[in-house]
Amino acid sequence: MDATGAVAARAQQAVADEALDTLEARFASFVASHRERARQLAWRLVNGDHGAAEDVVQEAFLRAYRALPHFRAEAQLSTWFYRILVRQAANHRRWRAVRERLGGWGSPDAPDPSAPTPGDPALRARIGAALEQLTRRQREVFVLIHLEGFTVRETAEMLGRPDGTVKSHLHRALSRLRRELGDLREPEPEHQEERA
Amino acid sequence: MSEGDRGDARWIAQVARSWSPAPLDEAGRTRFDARLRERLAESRERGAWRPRAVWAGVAMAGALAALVGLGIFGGRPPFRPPATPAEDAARVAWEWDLLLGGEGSGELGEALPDDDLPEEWKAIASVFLAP
Repeated sequence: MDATGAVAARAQQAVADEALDTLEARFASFVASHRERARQLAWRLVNGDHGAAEDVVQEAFLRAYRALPHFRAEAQLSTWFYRILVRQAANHRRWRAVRERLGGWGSPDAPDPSAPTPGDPALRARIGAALEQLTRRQREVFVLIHLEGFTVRETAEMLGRPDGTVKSHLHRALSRLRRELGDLREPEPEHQEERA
Repeated sequence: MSEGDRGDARWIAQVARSWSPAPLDEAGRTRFDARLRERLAESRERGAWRPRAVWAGVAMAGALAALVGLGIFGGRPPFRPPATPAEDAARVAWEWDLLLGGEGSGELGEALPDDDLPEEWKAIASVFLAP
């Protein structure tokens, strides 16, 4: 290789390194912005299993890394990312159901003792049981809209369903959960003051 | 907002607060990021091997298709001329021998002379097998 060729190769390598650095920086920033919310969403969708939630989130981030060069706008990437995450959670639940049907074949999910969850365990178990009674779509729609604060439009985009279908799932989910959990009430402000 | 909506809002807020994992602390975030970096590195390694694996797969599929095309491996069975009536009879006799324990000698496939049958069997044969 002559001197001109070597210079050109070095310049090409520098451009590639810079692109990789930019990609890594974008990815690190994306992970930092979405890590906590993604973890919470996955945890809520896989019925409070810390280990499974982490697996689901990591897999979704890996896919986001591969897709990152194809997305210029962060908003587009985050919608796509949450779509992948919801799908990963559904896949996880499906495999867990298969394992349970086969009589515990494989490694069943065990609660992670190193990850304590705040709040009342009995109430958590009750909520978990109520959510398990919903269909997959009803659960996803309820969690995304009411617990995670996504809009109907964003949820419809994530699930690849029309807005009307999302609203219909949400209505059914609410009717069912109202029967199971409608007696739950947040403490009134004055009671909170009394406790304080 | 209606009374029903306000009621819903209250229990939903309670569900949102109770149905939530503890946020990751600094150590948890570090562990999470380290595991993610590890998985990314593994994924890149697999990515480096993937084109070679795809080419190897294509080459193997091509070789298999060539073997099938040449009739060496799988494909249509070789042509056999149709069996003559004599061959058919011999095959049937041999199969009966095998089935009834004659071990392929053909003796059970041959018609037995009626004289060798016991008297009662001859009577039955005369009723059912009489020409």
